[in-house]
Amino acid sequence: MTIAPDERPDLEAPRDEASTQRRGADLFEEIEGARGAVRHELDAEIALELRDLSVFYGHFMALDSVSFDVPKQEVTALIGPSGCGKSTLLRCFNRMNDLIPTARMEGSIMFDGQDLLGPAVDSVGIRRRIGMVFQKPNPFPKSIFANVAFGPKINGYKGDMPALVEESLRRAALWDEVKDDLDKSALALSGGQQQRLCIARAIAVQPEIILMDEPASALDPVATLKIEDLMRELAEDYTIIVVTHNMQQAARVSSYTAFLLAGEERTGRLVEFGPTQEIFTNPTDRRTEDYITGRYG
Amino acid sequence: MPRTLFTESQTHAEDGVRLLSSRVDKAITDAMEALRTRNMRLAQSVVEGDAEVNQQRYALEEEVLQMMATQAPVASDLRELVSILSIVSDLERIGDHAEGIARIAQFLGDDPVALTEPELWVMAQRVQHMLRASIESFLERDEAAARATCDVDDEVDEIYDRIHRHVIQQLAGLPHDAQEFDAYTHLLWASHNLERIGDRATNICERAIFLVTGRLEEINVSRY
Repeated sequence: MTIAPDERPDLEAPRDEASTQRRGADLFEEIEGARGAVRHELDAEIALELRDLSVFYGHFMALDSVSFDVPKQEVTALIGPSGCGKSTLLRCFNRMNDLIPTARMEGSIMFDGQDLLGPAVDSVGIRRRIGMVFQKPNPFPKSIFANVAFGPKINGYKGDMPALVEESLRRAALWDEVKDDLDKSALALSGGQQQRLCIARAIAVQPEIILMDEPASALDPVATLKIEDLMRELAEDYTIIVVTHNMQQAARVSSYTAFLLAGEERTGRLVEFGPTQEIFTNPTDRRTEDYITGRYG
Repeated sequence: MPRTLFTESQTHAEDGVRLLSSRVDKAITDAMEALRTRNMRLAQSVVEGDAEVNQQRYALEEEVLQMMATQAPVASDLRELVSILSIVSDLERIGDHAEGIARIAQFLGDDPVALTEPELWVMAQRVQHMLRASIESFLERDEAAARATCDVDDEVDEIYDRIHRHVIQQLAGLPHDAQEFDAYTHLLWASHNLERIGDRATNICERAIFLVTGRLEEINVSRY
């Protein structure tokens, strides 16, 4: 069941004196149903508001009551061991889980005043506003130009297409390397170039949010650093959410980090969310400390 | 436990800190003993031993840098290694202060003037207590002990004040051309060295607190 926006607890509503006197943590648990997760109150503008987000695959609960705010125009990293639900969480943001027949979501993800999980949401429209870059570069077997122009074209873009392609490739830090080869097959590019092409393809439709699922895990260290630099640059204009297994990468590129962990029943939960600097220097939760210092497991 | 290699290196570095601190602790004991008994050989051994303290400090620093470069520590691991870098520098400086006192013992030679300030040895006891307690609080990750140790520095400062006043009084009563001028001035320097050791121990306590809380704060700023 999806919680309609007007049914969500109003965090701004005045509370009675007795409740304000209660410990903040208790209050947070009660209002947010956060189940002990350490959640940071954001000063920044919010791009996505997750409230009690749970995901099921059939009877299996993959994610349990995740609540946090994704800040606008920042890089947010989702970290955690394999199977903790971070990719599942990422796929919720542009309704990619809809493609899995048994998948079901509860709670809400507020984006620009609407609940992304609501039945009226146009998932294709959402995927234009919330783009995705996958682990393995997946360019279409077409020219470099056609790859970047593909999205705008099917969206009926009527403007100056070559200018849009150039701008997208420039923003993806690829223009200088491919400007004389735009008609060549995208498959002829190196792995790192292909991934930057996929980023150019994602930003060509001018999304607001870019989701990245392990975007550099298939790349060599030099190409990885290029992607990381690019993520920082893109965060000036876009909200970026990145799933990564590489802890140093999360520490280098993100401003905020969410740490998820699954228990023995394999259901993922948010353990801690906060500024990356704090998560990597002085995490609040012992489990976060154990994971990032490599003492997990 | 996972990360066996890192944990072993961590224990090795902690042992190194313990070793270096007991080495400079002994240097203080020997320097004060040389001052009290005018044992020139003992004073010389403190002076010569300082080179080894310095060497030990650099070896530890290198060990920690190696761990940082190869193990990419974060969170409390990172805080501990960064703290060790700072602590070994404080310990090395404490060694220099002990050496300074040993040199004063050498300078004073047979002159019994030092014995006119018995509180110097009380002061040395206090700062040695601070040194040991600060290192323990760091290795045991004991914030309360670290804070309590910092408080001892007030007492050290008070003793320093008393010695200072007493020496000045002695100097004021001396005739114009008295030979004791230099000797008394050196006594002031000896007490100043001890006072600085107290400050260095406070720095170590600050690192212990940082290791536990993640916050860098200046505790109990010395008046000197």
